[in-house]
Amino acid sequence: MAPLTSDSAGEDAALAEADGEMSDSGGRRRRLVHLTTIIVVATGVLLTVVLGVAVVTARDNNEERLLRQRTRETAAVLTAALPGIQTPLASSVEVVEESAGADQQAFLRLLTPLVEAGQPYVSASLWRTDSEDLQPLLVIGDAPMLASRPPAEIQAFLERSRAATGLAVIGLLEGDNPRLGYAFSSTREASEFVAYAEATLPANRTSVVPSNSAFAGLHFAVYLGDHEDPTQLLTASTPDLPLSGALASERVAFGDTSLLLVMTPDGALGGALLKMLPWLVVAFGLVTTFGSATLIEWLLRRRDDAERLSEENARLYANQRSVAQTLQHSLLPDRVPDVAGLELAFRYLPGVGGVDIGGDWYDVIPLDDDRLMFVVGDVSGRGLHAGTVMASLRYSIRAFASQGDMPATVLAKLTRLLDVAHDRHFATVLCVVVDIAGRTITVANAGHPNPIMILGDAIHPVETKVGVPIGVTRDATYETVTEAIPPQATLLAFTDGLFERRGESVDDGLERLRESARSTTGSLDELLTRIVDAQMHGSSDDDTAILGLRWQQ
Amino acid sequence: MAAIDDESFVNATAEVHFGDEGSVVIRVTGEIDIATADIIRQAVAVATEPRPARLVFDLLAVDFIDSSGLAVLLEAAKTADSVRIDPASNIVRRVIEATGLSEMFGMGI
Repeated sequence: MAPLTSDSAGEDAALAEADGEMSDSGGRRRRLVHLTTIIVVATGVLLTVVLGVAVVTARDNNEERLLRQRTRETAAVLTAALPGIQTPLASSVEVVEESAGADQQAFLRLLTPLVEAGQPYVSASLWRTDSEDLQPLLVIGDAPMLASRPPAEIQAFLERSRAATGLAVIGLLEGDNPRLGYAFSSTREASEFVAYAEATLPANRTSVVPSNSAFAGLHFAVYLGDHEDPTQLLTASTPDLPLSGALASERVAFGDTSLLLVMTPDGALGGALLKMLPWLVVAFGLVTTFGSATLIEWLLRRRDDAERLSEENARLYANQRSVAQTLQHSLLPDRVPDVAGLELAFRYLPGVGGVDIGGDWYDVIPLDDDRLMFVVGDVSGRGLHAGTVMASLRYSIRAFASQGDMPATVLAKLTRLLDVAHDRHFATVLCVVVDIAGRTITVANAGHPNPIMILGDAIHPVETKVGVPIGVTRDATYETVTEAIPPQATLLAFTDGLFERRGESVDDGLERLRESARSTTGSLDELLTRIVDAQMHGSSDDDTAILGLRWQQ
Repeated sequence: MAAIDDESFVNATAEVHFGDEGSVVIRVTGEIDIATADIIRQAVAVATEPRPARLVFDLLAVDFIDSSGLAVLLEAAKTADSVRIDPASNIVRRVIEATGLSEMFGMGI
């Protein structure tokens, strides 16, 4: 709400200097990457890897579970399909046995529909277990490959079939087109007939699986027996055997032997998204990690820059303050002239707040052997502009004094040099001519605190005719007051920083001054030191100039 | 030292009241110093457009005024036909008297 109106010229100068400093220190080596950023990256990558592994494990577990489930389902389907090829054989042989071989028509009637293209069997035949020529009684479809086997093998199989309570599987019969042969005999005690059928295997023993079937996305192989024997392969969905990768197998009972179903996933059972999930997780993790790291690194670098700038500013601020004080001292007399018969001393106390130049000043101007002029003034505000106003007023007063002007005239002329409406500064000035031999002072006052006189333990204000400050009106006039100064009295003139402080009444300030000035022993210089020390116990944020004067004893 | 600076930052308010017959009252509270000078300047700019016959500063609630603050009041004195301070806190009254400005701000003696 309230923009600070400290001296803008001073700030501009400081900024210009700051720019120069920054470019000088720009070559300072920066850290390549902050430790925090490295930790963030390391943590992020580690988390990503852990998460990726977890997802892979979960996905693989899921795939394995799905594969086992699908394999069991497939085995169930296979199991359900088997009775379809067994039942007609079992039924027909039962009928033939019932009629003691008389009703062979029943065999024909039941099995002929099943021996056609697209049906389970390529060949069905009826055998007697005690056949002497080891040839079938009846044949439907192709000639059975069993008939061309060695007689001992035929005899053994027929015997095995008769003894079996269910389906007897002879196994794969090798040939141009390998066939699977199996037989049924009646469940009666002394059965004489065996119904036998042969089925061909798919071309190259490979089944083409439609993409919309229950087995889509899976490769399978079905072996006769209980292990993956390539010669016992019945059918498979791929020529690349044995199956590799994640495998699951189920055994399905098939007559007096069994079928082995082996399955492996062709792709991901859980879908493409699940398959890609680990990579998505890793990619997301890495992108997030490096995104965060970049952001953090950027923020850290900005903080570094801010810290660097802050250090620079602090340094420049201190530098500027010292420059301001040096400049101020150069504008003020560093020693008062030796004046015969008088003791003179002065102090200047820079205010504690801010770096700007104050507008306080003091001056001692010898007029002739008997007289001198001293001035204490205070330009309102602070900063370079207040400082230049102070300098111009101080040297103008010296010029007016050298022309022989007396205090009231000096102030009247001075007030035309400053206009508060235009310059935003006004000044209070105390202008005093000291008659050394006559022990009197002639005082004109433009809005300035009255000087005080210390005599013993007492402090007396020197009453003056207070006119308006310099710069308030162009036509201001001033009246002088002439006072006699008793021997041993000490005269102090000062600017209002001496006893005006924020949160403290003027009376408190005066009391503090009274306390420190009480003892009049010692030199004037020691007195001012005591006053200044008392002043330093509390810190004024305004500058203070003090000038002391005493007649030598 | 920093505390002093912090306190002095925006420790003032200024209200402008337009009264009858071309008089304007600016009521200021808090501290009038280099940090708050622009608050008063803005209030004066508002109060003196157009130029009023009478400008009155109500400084009863002002508990600190320094030379920069006084400079703002003196600047404002040129922007109206008559400028008064009424009422004034003791601190303000003492500073105005000490600087010989009682007559200029119509405060009598």
